[in-house]
Amino acid sequence: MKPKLPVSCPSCQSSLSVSQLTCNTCQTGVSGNYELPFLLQLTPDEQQFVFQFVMTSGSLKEMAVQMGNSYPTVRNKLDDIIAKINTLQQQS
Amino acid sequence: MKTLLLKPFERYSESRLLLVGLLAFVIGTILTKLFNTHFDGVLDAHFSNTISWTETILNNSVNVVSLTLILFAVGKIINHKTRLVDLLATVLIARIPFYPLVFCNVGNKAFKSGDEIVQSSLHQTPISTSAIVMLVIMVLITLVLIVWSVSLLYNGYKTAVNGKGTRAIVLFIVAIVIAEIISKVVIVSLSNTLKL
Repeated sequence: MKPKLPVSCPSCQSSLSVSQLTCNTCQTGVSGNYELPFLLQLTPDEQQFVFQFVMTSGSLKEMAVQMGNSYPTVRNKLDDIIAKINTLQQQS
Repeated sequence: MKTLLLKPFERYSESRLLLVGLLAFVIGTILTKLFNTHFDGVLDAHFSNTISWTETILNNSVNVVSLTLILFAVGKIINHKTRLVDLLATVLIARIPFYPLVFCNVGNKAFKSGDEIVQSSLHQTPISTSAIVMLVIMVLITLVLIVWSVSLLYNGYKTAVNGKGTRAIVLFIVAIVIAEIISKVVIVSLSNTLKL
């Protein structure tokens, strides 16, 4: 099972930040306090949606066919993600 | 199955929904004429012993057009990306539950029962059990079908306008009330103009 990247605190729901990065080759660790990029603060489903959006060259109609959903459903999902990114931008 | 019956707008493309909706509209209009039913308002159904083709087509068309345009206007207030085609498909599909209502008037049965109840009330004579049973059955069937239709309409509207929260619900109710008033007024005016 591929572990999911936690983006919010399981205790208080606040956004998490990166405090440690590790090189998988030499095991060097870097400590600090780095904010997660907006895209990584989205849920895995939303990230998958953004990925599909890019892979279909932004064609919502093609995405609707691929996802087995109607065009308005796909467009609504995109609008919701845009609204979420706007909120994240305002918060940062 | 639940998606198909209540939320087809989330899954099926607008072209497929339009095709099914238009087909249902044509079949529904023919049945409406055959069984003398007046859909003279977006939430109305009345039975008689006669109805003309012009009146049947006028009633059903005005209902679809008025409801579509009002929901589209409301949709534009909520979300400027709202498309007319999605709301037209929504309205056409949401009208489907109304059409089976016409079978209540097979052999003008519903009209005769209603007429008998009215006459009995006017002349203070006892109402027959069969008329009361017919009335109760009709009311129950009508309630189920109206709830189904409004559920379809709301789900389609919610999907088409990306409506969320109380504002979307309130505007939906306002749209239904306005569409009911407008459809009634337009049907009566056109009926008088065309001398139907």
